[in-house]
Amino acid sequence: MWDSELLGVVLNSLYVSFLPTLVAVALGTPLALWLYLRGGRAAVVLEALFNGLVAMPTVLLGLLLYLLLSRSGPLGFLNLLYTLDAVVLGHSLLVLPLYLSFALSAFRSADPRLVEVFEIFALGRAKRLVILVSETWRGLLAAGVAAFGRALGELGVALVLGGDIRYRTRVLTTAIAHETMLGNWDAAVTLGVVLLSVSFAVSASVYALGYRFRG
Amino acid sequence: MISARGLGKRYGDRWVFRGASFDLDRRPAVFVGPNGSGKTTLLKILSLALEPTEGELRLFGMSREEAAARLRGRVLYAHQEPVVFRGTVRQNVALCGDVDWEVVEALGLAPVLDQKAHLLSSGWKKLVTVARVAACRPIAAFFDEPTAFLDRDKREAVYAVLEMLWRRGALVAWSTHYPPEADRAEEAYEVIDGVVRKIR
Repeated sequence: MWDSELLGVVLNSLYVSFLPTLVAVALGTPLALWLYLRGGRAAVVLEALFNGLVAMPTVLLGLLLYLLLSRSGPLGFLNLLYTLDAVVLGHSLLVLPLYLSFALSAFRSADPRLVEVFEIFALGRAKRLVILVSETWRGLLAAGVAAFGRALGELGVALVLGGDIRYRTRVLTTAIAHETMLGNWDAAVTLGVVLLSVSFAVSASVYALGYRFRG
Repeated sequence: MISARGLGKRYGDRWVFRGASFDLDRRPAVFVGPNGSGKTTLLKILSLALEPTEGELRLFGMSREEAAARLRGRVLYAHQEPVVFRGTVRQNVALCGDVDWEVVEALGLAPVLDQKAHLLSSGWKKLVTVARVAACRPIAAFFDEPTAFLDRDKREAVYAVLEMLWRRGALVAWSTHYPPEADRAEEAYEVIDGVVRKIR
């Protein structure tokens, strides 16, 4: 499976990694800000919950979502099972806690007196978010890269929800598993090199972009 | 305008001060005392940035809770250590809607307005921290060691702006270690050994 098929698999992998990363950034950044600024018992409990979900076994998450998305499940009417969008959904749920945990750490690395300034000047949430993001963008960038890497290298969710259907839902990790099971070691190792290259290329590009726009 | 009765603040088992009772009116006031005596804590409490552990605080005829709800953003505090975020000096100063740029110019910040604040020297950062409060048309402004990190000319500029504020009707108070700077105030309070007392 080379040339156009390999390109399709790589594009599928990028699709089910980039989109969940964007979802995690869009939802996780304001949520992390809320947890950071709110503090108190509720925030601690929520943070502990999200930290626990960081270590969620991917196959278990895949299984739970399979039960929800299967034809007889409560979300069966969406007809998502064995599509890339099902994998996107699964990966979004998988990487959100990871991104949130990293983003919260990034916010905590900012000067804590900034929060006092926010309170003293009664700044709105949007302004607080802009200032904190500008202060901690390197940490947030690292959080985004970590989320992307987690989605790109994940197998359980992609296999259970995507089904590894050739030309449709096959991604790099499921392709490696497939070739390994067939005993095609050369193909499996080559796909592994491609996976690693994609991962390095994306990380390097993001960090280079961050370096270019450093403050 | 600001009335404190039996104010006290405790961190863990340690009382920073207790039983602080005084009234601040429109006359400029200064809080003096050695390092760690509680001046910063007291100024933060008076500016609603920190809650007292005990006692009653009234601001402009309102209880502390009512003032915190209605006067937030008008009763301001400038930190002793400069606090700036990534962004231009202009962005750092303009945290309120109605910035008095005359005050910013009086502090000598005009030449650096479009420079990145976090890349400036400590002295400039300190001026930004002071300008952010002074230019926001506060009704009460508390400055923690407002001339720390500054050379003589900039110290004079800061006191000129503080005078400008109280002449316009704002309540102005600051803390300092230096007796000559305490002499600039009409009222002086000493914070020492957990006690706040009026000395002038």
